[in-house]
Amino acid sequence: MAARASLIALLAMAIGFGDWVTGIELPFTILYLVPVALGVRLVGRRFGLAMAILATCWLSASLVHDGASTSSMAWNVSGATVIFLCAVWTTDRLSHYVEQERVMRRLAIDQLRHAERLNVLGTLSAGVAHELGTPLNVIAGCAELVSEESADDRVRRRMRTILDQVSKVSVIIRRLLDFGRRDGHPRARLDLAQVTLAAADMLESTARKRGSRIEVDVGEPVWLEGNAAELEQVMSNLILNAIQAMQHGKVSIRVGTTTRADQPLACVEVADEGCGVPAQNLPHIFDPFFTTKGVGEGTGLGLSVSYGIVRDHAGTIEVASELGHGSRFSVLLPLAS
Amino acid sequence: MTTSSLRLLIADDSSEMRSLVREAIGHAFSDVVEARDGRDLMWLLLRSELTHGGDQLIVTDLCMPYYDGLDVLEAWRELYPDHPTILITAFPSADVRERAAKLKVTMLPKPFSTTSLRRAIREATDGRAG
Repeated sequence: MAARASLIALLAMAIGFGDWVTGIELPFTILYLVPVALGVRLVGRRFGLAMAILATCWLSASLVHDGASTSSMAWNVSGATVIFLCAVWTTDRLSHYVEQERVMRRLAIDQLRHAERLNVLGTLSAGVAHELGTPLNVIAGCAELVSEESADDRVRRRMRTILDQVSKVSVIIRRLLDFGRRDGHPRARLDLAQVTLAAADMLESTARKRGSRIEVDVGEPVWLEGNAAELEQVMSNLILNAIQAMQHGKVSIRVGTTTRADQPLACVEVADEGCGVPAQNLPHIFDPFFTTKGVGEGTGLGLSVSYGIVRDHAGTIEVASELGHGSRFSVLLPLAS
Repeated sequence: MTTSSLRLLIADDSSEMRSLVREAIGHAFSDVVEARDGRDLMWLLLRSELTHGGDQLIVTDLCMPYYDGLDVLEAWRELYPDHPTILITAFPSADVRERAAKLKVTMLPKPFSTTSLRRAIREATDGRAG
């Protein structure tokens, strides 16, 4: 940064010296714009302003050296000052716009990469789940047949254990298929506010048991095309995660609309006052089997399934988290046309 | 209706799955035949038209080599629109559900228990009787 500033200042000095030697030449006024614009773009607005002041000083010195009249000096210096300040302002605005675009592009690329990775994981999960389905079915079927044919209680009990375990694996497979599938269940016009309220009501007692409470802020109905059972599952997963992220606190839910890239969208925000998600874990929270919960508290499939359902509804889930202060999950979905 | 007069046609690319279905429900049918892929199923159905007049219950998996279960059933339904049919699938997409409903096929989600298989057969054969 210092090297850049020195080079730009040297350029301004060289132009100023040329101006002083050659007298009043119009091209030099334009040449001064180069260090001014470069100063703003490469170093900063303040440095650009310093270059504008330096250029004005050099211009005044050249005019004095050339014996210009007072009125000519006043006219030239004030005119040049306005031009230099305009150059500072314009370059600063353009730089700001370019930076903004650059950040947006980087974010979009990151999101695309993340979505692509989850897509690959989804396909893999669905494939594995699909392939496991048949052998698992055969195991359960054979255990059932043995159980039916056997009069020995001990054999029947053991077969029951096999069936119970197969049933647990089947639930995991069902959820992996839910995460990996490419199309959803039948859809209808629904009010997202009612869906969210139903999920919040269902988990009210769970929150109370952990010394927490749920607050739902619902305004006007938010209409969209979707599957009510699936979206209720998404809301339940997010609310349950929020409850489990803290011991005593408040789960704040807001249902409404928002905009992204000038597009109006339905939005449900679920915020907790819990421990937050460490920055290094954020890119993995939607990965299947990723969990920070204790053994037996979760399979690590809840958020993956939620992501799969929201993606199938052409929506996204945004996450903002601050360690020690809590997390905010925002589900964004297209509004009904 | 009773199933004892029907032939049972099981189509699945997993031999273990075919054996399971045969052992679970085969005894209730007059005859049991197995197909290991979609082409085999189509061939057995065409042959059965000559020998049985298509009087049979079809239990088929959705995903099989060559032709999937629904493709074969769609072709077969044009000849015998009322035959009791059970489609086994672990991955019923919206498209599959729609096609199965159009063909009036009984869906049996995988993994299934022998109890739910027997229930599906009752449902499929009772529907035929009605």
